[in-house]
Amino acid sequence: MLARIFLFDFQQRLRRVSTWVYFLVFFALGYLFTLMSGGAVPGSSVDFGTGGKVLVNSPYALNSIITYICFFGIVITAAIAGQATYQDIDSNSAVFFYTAPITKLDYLGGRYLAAFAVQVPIFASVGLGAWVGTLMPWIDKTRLGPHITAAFFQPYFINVLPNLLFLTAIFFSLAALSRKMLPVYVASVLVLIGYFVVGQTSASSLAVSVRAALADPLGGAAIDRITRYWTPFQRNSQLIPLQGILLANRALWLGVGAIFLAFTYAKFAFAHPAEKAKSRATTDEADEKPIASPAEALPIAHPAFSTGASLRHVASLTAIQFKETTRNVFFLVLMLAGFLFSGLSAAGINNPQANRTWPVTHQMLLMATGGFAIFAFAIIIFYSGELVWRERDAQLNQVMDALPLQRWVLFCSKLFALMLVQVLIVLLIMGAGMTVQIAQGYYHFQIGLYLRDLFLHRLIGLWMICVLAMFVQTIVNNKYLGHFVMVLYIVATIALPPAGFQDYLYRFAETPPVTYSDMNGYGPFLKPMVWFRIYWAIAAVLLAIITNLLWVRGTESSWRVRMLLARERFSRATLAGVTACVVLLLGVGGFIFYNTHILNPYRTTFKNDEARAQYEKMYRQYWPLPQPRITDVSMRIDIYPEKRSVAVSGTMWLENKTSSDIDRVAITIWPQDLTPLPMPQVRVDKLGFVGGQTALIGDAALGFYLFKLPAPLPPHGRIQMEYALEYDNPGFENSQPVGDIVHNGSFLNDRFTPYIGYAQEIELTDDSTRHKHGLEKVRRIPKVDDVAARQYNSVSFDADWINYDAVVSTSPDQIAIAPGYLQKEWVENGRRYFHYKMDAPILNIYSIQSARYAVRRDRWDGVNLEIYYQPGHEFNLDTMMASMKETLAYCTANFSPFQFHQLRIIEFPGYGTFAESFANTVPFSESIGFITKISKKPDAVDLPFYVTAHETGHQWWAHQVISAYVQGATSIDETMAQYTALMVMKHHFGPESMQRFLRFELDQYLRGRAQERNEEFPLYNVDPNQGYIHYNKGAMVMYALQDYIGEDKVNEAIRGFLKEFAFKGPPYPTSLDLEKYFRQVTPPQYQYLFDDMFLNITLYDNRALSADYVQRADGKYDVNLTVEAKKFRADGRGQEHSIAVDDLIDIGVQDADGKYLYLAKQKIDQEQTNVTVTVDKVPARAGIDPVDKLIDRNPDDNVVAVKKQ
Amino acid sequence: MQLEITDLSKRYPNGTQALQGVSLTIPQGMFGLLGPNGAGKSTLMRTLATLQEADTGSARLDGIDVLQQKDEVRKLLGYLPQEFGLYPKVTAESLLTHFATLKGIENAGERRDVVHALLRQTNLWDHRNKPLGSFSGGMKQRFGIAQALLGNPRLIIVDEPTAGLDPEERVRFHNLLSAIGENIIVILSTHIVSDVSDLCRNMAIIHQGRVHAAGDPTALVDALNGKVWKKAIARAELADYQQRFRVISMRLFAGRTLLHALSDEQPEAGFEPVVPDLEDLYFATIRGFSSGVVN
Repeated sequence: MLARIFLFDFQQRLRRVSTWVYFLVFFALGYLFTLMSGGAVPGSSVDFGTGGKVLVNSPYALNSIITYICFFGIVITAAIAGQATYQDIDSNSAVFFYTAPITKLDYLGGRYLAAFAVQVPIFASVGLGAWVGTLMPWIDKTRLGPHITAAFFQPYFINVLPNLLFLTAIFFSLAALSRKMLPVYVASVLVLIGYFVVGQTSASSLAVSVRAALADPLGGAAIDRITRYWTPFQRNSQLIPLQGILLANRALWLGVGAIFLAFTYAKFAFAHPAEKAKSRATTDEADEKPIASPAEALPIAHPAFSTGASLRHVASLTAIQFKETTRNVFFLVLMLAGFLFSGLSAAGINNPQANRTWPVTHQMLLMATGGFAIFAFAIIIFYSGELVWRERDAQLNQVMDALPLQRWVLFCSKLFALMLVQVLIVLLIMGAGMTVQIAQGYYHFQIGLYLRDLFLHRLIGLWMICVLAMFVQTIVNNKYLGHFVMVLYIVATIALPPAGFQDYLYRFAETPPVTYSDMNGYGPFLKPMVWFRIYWAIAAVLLAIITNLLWVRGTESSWRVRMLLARERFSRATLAGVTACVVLLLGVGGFIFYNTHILNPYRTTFKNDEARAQYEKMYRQYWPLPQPRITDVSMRIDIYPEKRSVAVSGTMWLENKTSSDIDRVAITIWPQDLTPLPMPQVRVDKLGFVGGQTALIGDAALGFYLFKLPAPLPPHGRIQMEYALEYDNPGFENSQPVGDIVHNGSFLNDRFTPYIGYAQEIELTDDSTRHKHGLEKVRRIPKVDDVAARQYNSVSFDADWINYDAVVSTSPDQIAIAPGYLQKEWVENGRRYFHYKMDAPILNIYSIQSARYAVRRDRWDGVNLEIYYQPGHEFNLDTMMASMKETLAYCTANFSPFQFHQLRIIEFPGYGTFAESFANTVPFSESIGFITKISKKPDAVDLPFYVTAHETGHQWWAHQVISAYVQGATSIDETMAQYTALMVMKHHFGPESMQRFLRFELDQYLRGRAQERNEEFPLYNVDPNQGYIHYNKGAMVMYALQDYIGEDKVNEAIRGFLKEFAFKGPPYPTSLDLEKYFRQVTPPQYQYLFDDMFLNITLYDNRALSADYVQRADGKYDVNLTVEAKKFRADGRGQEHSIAVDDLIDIGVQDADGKYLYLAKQKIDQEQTNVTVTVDKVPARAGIDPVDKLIDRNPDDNVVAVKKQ
Repeated sequence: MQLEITDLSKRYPNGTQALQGVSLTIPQGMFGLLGPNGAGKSTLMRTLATLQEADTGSARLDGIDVLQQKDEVRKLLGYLPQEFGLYPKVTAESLLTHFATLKGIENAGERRDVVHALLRQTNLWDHRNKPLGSFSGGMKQRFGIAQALLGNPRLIIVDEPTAGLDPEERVRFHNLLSAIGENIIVILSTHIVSDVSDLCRNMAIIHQGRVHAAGDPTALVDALNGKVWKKAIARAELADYQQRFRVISMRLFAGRTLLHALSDEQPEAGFEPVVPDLEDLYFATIRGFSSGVVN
């Protein structure tokens, strides 16, 4: 009988149109995502677990695509699983089944299995679509690997099908027991947002803990834990194994699903709900007595049908609909969950790296609205369906529709009720944010900012989505299909921008991203936000009018009749409304178009990349052309913050440092983060040489100029170049505005002055992007042994050390800062001028900043220390000041004297999240150090202290010795700045506090190499873009090195290195020069470290197998420890082979407080080793490499508890 | 005041011809619309109640074009659909008050008076504070009629109102309807003949989307005078009789089948004349033996 019930239900569902709509949509999604990641769509830059060297049809990428798309199917699962039993309640046919001679098991089992079974083909279509996608001729063949059939099935067995079994069980049980659909929706919303929050958490957390991996009901966290460190090679070739944590996770949640089903089986009864029968009985009784009905005349009422009455109807109907929506336990549960979710994310649960920020209001708004948007969307999606269908679900629609109400009254009351719900949601965010602020003892609430951001920005956006949802529900006229269409809309908002559809003129209800900054408020983000809001608000009104026209009133819903009715309903008022909307929309749209397509060029990511590719294709030929170098820079910068414009002019002295004549000089003008010109618009007023020139090329669009000198410049000859440029930001843009020149907090740090020669840094650096733009693979920077390349330093090809002088002017209320010492400050023509001059040569990089700063001053050993900051951001000034002092002290004592008598930290708006070191000048983002809340926990990393130490270290590493432009350059400039910071921290916080920091660096390195898009290099020839190597691995390596050979030895080597290379021109030093100095101070038994750590990629798999102890007669303890050590070498793709272990590795024994009773290196030359050490106190834990000095993908198993023998 | 329906036709997208050239004149008072299930009664009612579109034809209520001026019609309309639900958690009085507001009764005092009077008239006064979810079928139906009577409707359309009511409730319901139905138009659709014969001064028989008879029920029945014959036969003979005569109805009586047949003269020995009633007319009409319009 169970089989019969199953078959009947299954067949019924297969016959439904919706099943096949779902099938086709999922098929299309799988197909399209595959094509987009496969480079078949020009202009698309979608990466789903692919990208770089991970191929489209690799097991990893397929798993990502399939599970991601299937995740959005939760709404389908909810509908199908809920309807499995609710269909009988809904259609009033439950009694036929309850009274049939079938068992509960037949009924529930058959229905559950049918609900599950019908989803299998629906969800399988994703993989099918992906497979068909890989067969398409227009897919980029280089993005395809060998076809692995199992890779298409594996995601289903480890992920999709178990999830379906589990989720179907949950939703099925809820509907069967409650005999309602609402609990099912609520549960699906909770799963949806819960998953997003978990996703955010695990994406940024230090490491997915075992608990988190188990706790994720959909298994994503467990898969992430398994694959997080997989290299591209592994991602391309290995199926995700169903074992370990993943197997445990799947078993756990299938078990939970089974418990739900068992509970449902036990509780479900073939009976009407008891309470109804009871109340019926009483009324029937009361109804017994016959009452005659004298036909007395009814009182005469006087109905009125004025507009005022209609408005009052809207108000009262809205109130009723709103009450009906919100006054039930499910809504309360949703709100409570939303409050918890937003509160948790605002409290920084998703950022456990101890670098939490103070709960300033704009951070609260940022975090509370991130994942929360999905929550709000889910509420809109579900409740729009409920509201539109409310009367029809209650079978009251005929009565309601025949009432003398205007149609817009019915429609508007529902729309307004939904909009009122959004007010609750934003108030909830506000409440959560303020709760977090209070909980953390932060009472500077900025209510105005809350209200502005939530009500004038977010709420209006949500309201537009409300209109859209009502529109969709009305158009498709099927509640569940309506839900699904809205989910597709959300998918589209996520998927279309990477596919090249980035114009906000057609992205409904969206605005360019808005970043709030304490320094600059909404700054340049305000104008585009407001205009796009107005634009889409008009569109939403138009959509509402259309919805009102097509509103289903009465019993007919065929499209023929609806169109007929719409025509009939198209009154003069409607015409006026539509006309007004269209005119306004065209007007505002035209204005936006003028700003975003004419005043500013509209460019997609693809077009931006294309411009860079064009620059390379056309002008790469001038790279070998010998060019003179800059020796003296004298500039004048006039900043006009209120106009967001800057005029830069000046002169540069160029010298021919080659041995032959130079007759042509190339100049590149390409400012602003490598996005192409003109962003902001740049005007070249003057560009030329004092002695005149002939223009050979003048390509303003790509910023490339080639000049012929009137007479060749002989070797050692000097020539003066003059230029005048103006940067302007007219109107607003169709993308995230450039935040360089703003009202308060202008920050120019890249090449805003002319660049001599072809600028290689403009070239695209990602192989798969390059391939899309018809370029061959990335040209690696010269090899470490390339002698010719050592003529260039790694920060500027067009200069060595220069003399620098700058006059900066700005608004009278702002301070403008450039590198150098202030010579003079004055006011002239209502503007404030500053003259800065360097008294010693510096590198050819400089930053200009201007804002209304407060200044904190201090001195250290004759050095002026200054911090320029936004008033209100005083939190960490003391820490930063202390870090500057301690770093200066450490470097001066251990490396060499400080070359400047001034060091300044200058805050800039949080449009970037970095700090950067220029000569005696350190721009520092407001969002990373200034509002960081330093944790009191002993093992927490003090981020402001660390970053300040790192940047101060750069005054030596870069500004004293600069590496040659060859591979491995950043292993000097960045890795040694890391080393400096590590040592300063070690002395400040104590060595024992370093483990957490090292663990963080280890995780970042392993994740970084997993994301590598090209090829992983060993440290000594790291590529400049491989931050995970020169920062994270570099920190690990240098910490290990000083641990092995001693800090003083390392510093001795550094002193020698600095002595040879500091402030020297070409040839510049390479990583091998530094290694040479290190090797000189390293004893022979540690020389192998350089092979392992510098010259190769070496990984360990160390673990403690067992440990026990016996107390000796003398009261000491013998700890007997069995450890395992495995060692691997990896190539650039991540393919590994194991090598023999012959290393000195830490063996450690801890007491119950975590204090080391024993920590010393022992020779390990076998895979398994027994070690016995003697300690004084009772040992608690023991293991191999317990402090994580070596690179080990699973550091958690290095230590085990010591048992008593 | 009178409702003039001219040549109304309606075909559903699935091909069902629900109405086919329906023309009727409906005067003040109770008007019965009689027809078997699926005859097109509900389609006609919904069309008149502004809930559905007609393909062709027109309907005019005095100066109002019912099919076009829907908002005007709704101001005069009281409608009770064949099937409807009520919000289960709301009490009878508050929902009725809500509907009163929506029907445009703005004055709170007037509204209260009307709602109270209707609750009394429909015998729901004692239950006015109970949630509608606890109402029995009859109470629900009475609430429906109360709702339809709000705001002095000039046109009341009630679709199969007595379906599911017990006999006593039916009587009460009829009393209520006839009391209010004197000065306004009340259109009552039903497939129960006695509903019409008890209540209506005018009626129409509608079958397969067409009007087969319309007029005063008495006059219509009179037209069959002397033409209806009855005979008791054995059940086995039925098929034979159906073939040979225009059998309009049959029912079991004391173990034999009593049939009525239509014929201008005695069909055969053993047939006895009967005084025709509305039921004879109804069955004769829907079997296609008779049609007529008498006004």
